[in-house]
Amino acid sequence: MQVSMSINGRSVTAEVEPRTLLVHFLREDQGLTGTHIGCETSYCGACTVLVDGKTVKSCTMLAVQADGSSITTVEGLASNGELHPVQEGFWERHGLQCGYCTPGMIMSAVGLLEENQSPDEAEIRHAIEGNLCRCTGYHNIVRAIEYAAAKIRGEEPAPPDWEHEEVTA
Amino acid sequence: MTTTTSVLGGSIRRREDPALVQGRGRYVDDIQLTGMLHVAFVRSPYAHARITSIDTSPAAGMEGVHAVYTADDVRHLGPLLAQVPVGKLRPLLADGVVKHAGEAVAMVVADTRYLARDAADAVVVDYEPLPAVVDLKEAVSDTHKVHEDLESNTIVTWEGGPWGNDEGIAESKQAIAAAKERDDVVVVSQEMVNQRLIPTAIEPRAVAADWHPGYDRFDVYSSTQVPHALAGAIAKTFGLASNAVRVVAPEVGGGFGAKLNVYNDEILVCFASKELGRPVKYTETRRESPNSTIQGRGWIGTATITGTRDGEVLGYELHAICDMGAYSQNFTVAIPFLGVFVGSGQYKFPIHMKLDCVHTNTMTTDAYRGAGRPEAIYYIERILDAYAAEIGMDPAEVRRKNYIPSSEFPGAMAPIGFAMDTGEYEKNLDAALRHFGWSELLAERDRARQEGRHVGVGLTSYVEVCGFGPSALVDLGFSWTTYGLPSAFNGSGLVRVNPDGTATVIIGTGPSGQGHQTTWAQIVSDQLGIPTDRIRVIHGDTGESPMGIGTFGSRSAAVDGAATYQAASEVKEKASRIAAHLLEASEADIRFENGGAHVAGSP
Repeated sequence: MQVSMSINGRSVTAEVEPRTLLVHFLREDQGLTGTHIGCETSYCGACTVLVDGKTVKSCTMLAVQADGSSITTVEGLASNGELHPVQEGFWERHGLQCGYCTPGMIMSAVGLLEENQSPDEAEIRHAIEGNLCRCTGYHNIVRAIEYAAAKIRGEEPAPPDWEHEEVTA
Repeated sequence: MTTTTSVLGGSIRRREDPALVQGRGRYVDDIQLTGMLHVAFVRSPYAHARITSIDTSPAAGMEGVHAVYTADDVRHLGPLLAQVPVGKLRPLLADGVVKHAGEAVAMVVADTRYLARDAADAVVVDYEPLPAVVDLKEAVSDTHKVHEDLESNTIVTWEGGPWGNDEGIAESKQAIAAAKERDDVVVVSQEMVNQRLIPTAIEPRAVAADWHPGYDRFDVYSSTQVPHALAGAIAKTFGLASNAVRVVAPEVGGGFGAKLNVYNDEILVCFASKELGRPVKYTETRRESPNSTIQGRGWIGTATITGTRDGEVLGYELHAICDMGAYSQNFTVAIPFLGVFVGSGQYKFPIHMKLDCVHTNTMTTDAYRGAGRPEAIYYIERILDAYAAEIGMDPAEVRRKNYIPSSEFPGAMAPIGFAMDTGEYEKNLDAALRHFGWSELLAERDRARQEGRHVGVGLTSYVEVCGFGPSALVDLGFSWTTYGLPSAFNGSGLVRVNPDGTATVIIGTGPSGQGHQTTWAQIVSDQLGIPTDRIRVIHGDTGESPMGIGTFGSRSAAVDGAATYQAASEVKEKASRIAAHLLEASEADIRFENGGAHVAGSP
């Protein structure tokens, strides 16, 4: 079947098998390997992308279902060499280790901040509850999203957690 | 605020992050090679069954299917090599009988991922189910055997007291037995399950092999913590020199010990690539992963403390059955052995541990997060709490009372038979209790309980055997000798200063989230004064790097990082001589900072 969509602002028309998952279409047909596959069952969220501005787990959506829509993947966030505030936040606040869940985590955060620029911690944790991370324990991810929210609001982000007093014997 | 003037130990932004946050990291499944074929496995739905027939023809006849392999095709290459080959080793593909659910029975190679899956579903396998052993106590009883040709399901028993010292073990047992005879002691005993865990790195394992006919060598990309071990295993399996196999571990999406292994799919993908003369890739699906990647833990054991009513422990016993799964892989039986090493913790009382390692009809267990050590620590720490509750003493005080005193260091002998170099356990305990507000926490707990809320406060203390550098461990099998690469678990690092004043650092280990790009840049920057952004770190590529044992057991920065530090120091020493000559100054006055060598005081 033929599908047409806009991916990161670029118009794409392609032939796909009807059963092709959106994530495979993005990764293997379009070469956008930043969107990762962690579970194929929509538990882990590594494959999260924005479809018409809404966060979607692309491992459980068919490419044909995305026909006519506008898609943003993690590769579409940075512009002119400038990181998106969420990407910057993950870097500044050590919101990642192995980096595999990171693109999906970042897309969920972008989706949240497009709706709500002043989320509290509970709202942030709720927004990323569909994204699993095995490395970080989530703490720094929350701090990273708080950093991005402050940046988007034009405010100075809070200093990092690790600027604390040393424990001495 | 913690501040440091040194780039080593200071907090800098990670060097690998700009690529990773932009989705530009390169993981194995991202790699597409020209002409690449894809693999899907036919896996057993039974925990134990005889294979009565396999009909591969419906799959083999499909357009776009290049091969369907079964045990008959790969028997000559197996079984899968294991570094500690105790127990039954895994056949590359199930040979006449399956021993655990998810065991690979046939391998399909096809043009696309989807087609490979379709073809795997078209393979018809008939099974005759056999009794499966999944309960550890049943396994130990040998009522049903996992492997008919083994004498027992129990493949090895590890024992301590003083490890490897039968006399010492007998003395420990006697001391504990004598303590139990005293009339002023309590004996607290509890059976505890340390449940199996499924490691579940977010990135499923993936491997791509590319055989180059004529050149007769492999390029292999694998999501592994141990690229050199894998290169050795592939070379040995296919009768190649180790330098005819290049294994690259690119970005690895988490390991947790599960990727500290050599897997049958890694060997099979190489086999298919060599047979077909095409690159071949296999990416594990999440549904396969629990039974195609090793699991961790899986112990049931009874821990017993014998001690006085005033908190003096006179003996600790642990008898556990440890689940090895159906086949032994890389370190399988060695994992509980690591538990023996930490079994006596930092305490001074006699111990006796007996760990029976048994096969069951389940997926193999091996290294997972702490690997044997958390299991052993759990038993001793949990039973100390039960003992503290029994005698009505603060669990912190029970521990304090039984620690090896700092006066015995250096050279304190742990009851398990290891000499320990340093330790100030009481002081550390005091710092922890003060930092967390132990007495306030206990008061809060008591208040909550009065209000009918169930609140608990936990405390544990442990010392860990880790780092795994050159040491006596090598003689116990912690090496890559089975993979044809004998080594003393040494570290390595190659530091090259380029004509433009940048540096390239090449290391044999690689990250699965640890941040090697950053840490190694800091190590070398600290020595040579080259800014971290002018230092490139190349990791996890056996074709480029000196031998690296792998990233596991808290060893990579400790051992390979230390080696790289030494390498950078040697570069510095040599550069100092040259700089002193060129700058007409004394070597002692040469300083390395801001990317160059200067005479002290005149940068």
